[in-house]
Amino acid sequence: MKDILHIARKEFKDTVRDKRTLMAMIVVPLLLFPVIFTVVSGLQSESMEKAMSRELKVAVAGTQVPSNLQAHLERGQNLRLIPFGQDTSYRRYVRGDSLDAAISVPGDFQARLDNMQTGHIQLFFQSTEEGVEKRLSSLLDRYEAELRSQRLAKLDISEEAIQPVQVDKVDMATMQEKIGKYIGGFIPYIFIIFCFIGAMYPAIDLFTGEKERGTIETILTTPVKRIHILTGKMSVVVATGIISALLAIVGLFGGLNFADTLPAEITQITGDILQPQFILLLLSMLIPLTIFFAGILIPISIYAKSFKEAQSIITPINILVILPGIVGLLPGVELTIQTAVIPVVNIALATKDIVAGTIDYGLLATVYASLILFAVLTVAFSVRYFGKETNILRA
Amino acid sequence: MIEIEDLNKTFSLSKQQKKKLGTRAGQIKAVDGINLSCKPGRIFSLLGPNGAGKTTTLRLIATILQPTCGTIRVAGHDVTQDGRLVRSKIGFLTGTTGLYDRLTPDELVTYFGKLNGMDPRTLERRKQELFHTLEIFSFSGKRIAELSSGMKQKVSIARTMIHDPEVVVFDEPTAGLDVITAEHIIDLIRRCKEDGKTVIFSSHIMSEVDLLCDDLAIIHEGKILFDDTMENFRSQMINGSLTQEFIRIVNNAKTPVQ
Repeated sequence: MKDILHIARKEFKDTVRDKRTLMAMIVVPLLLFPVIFTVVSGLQSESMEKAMSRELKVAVAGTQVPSNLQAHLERGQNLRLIPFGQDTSYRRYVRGDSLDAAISVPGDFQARLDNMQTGHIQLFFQSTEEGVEKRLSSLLDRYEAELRSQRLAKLDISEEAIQPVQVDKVDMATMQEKIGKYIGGFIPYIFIIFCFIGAMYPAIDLFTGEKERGTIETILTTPVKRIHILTGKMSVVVATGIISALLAIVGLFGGLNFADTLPAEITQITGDILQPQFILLLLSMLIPLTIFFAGILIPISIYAKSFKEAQSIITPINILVILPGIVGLLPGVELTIQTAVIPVVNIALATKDIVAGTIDYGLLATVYASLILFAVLTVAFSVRYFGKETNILRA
Repeated sequence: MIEIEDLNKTFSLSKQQKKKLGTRAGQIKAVDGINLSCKPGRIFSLLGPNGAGKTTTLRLIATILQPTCGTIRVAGHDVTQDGRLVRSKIGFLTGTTGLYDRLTPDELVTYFGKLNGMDPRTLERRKQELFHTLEIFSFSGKRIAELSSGMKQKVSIARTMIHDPEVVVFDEPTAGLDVITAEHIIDLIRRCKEDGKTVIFSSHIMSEVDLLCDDLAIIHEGKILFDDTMENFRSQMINGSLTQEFIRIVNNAKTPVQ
């Protein structure tokens, strides 16, 4: 036990002094979410604001544009109306970006209105230009609403008479459940990725690195048992994976509080979800998950002759880990007895249910049993692999 | 004391290795029926060309590898049965031995002292002695990555000797080192002899062997071709120079005289 501690302590010290590992384990997970939130929400709110406030050049085509329609359009903010009359070249200008939109009013428009028929207006725009359609539609909707009220008054019909049914929707799902489905799919995704990435560099450094630096023989000629060497090193690999996942959560939490454009209730509820109890429950799943990852990463790192070789084998495995994580984000995929036994998928789905407060404890137990079983299997494989002299000395 | 009896080591070959070696055989005998005896207070040299089985033999002594058959006893302990005990009696150093770049010499030597089960007081005393003899104090707090190759070699020596091993195994200890740095190793080997330790070192450089060793074994393709004292080697020489004599013995083994 003393030997394991000596090895773990030294490896941890060695690991935190490695800039590459430090970046992957601490800096990236901690700063990723605050940076993403700040940049994305900053850019989004800025571009939305810009789209809503910039001046739009709008062609108004047609020889008989009703004066009340013209008045409505003129009331619109930051609109530059350009009369086009019979000229139909506005289509080309909209396409070529010199006009933002065009409103075309056919000659019989007023006549159809007068006959209590539906008058047609064409709105030309490009959906790639954010906010244009929304701003003009709301203007035209107001115009239509005014005409409808006038018609109803003329016919002496109340507004209620033409709306026989109004459905008042009452959502019984709690905010926690709604957010649980949203954030609950997201949290395990972060966990899974960072557990893996956080464990990846130390695994390569502590095993392949020993070969590459020519230090493996020095440790193998000490009286320490090989299984103790492996356990000491493995515990550091697992610890870094978990630390990096926890830091990612701290980063997510901080980022949510930091990004002021997010609705206050989301920030509030995320804060409610990330309670110590929840974190502990997740941690209890994270530990076997990361041991499972370490059990996969370590034999590869023992096998590889160089850092480069180890990375080239591990990179495709990265995708195998991320893909099942994405399953947790898909709507309709639920925790069942089948999905509960598949590692990675099970933790993603279980977390979603825990956050939503709808977890089935029988299935949760299955998740734990499966995680522990896979961890034990991969660790046993690592032990056998590390014990084989041809693997450790493969050069 | 190291006693080797009828030692064999066979490796299974992968497809890739077979292709590389140009053989169809599934296995290769790296060590083939070796018998050797290295005595305390004497320097034993294992001389042989590249791929002769020197490193494999030394790794078997250091328990990094397990023998296929045969026995090795180090300081009276069997390598297969008492591996841990054997390792606690051994210091192992190679010319390509690396160090942990992100640790300081002080941290590194302490780490290996602890792994060798030393009690803190003995460890500290021994570390002070070694740092003093090897003049490590001036850089003992610096990261190893920042040290010169000469300084690193001194740290490697301190690491090997921290637990005061009875038996010291050197695998091509001067390979790749410059003359000045190699001198530290030569000094160390001599000091080990003076201290009455059992020393075995492998080399393919005859001049180095000539300079240091008391007993000599020539190994080729896993077999021992010569095993006697250095004195007897010199007196039995047919060729004029030691290197030529070494080449003659190895070549004779390749094309046996009828």
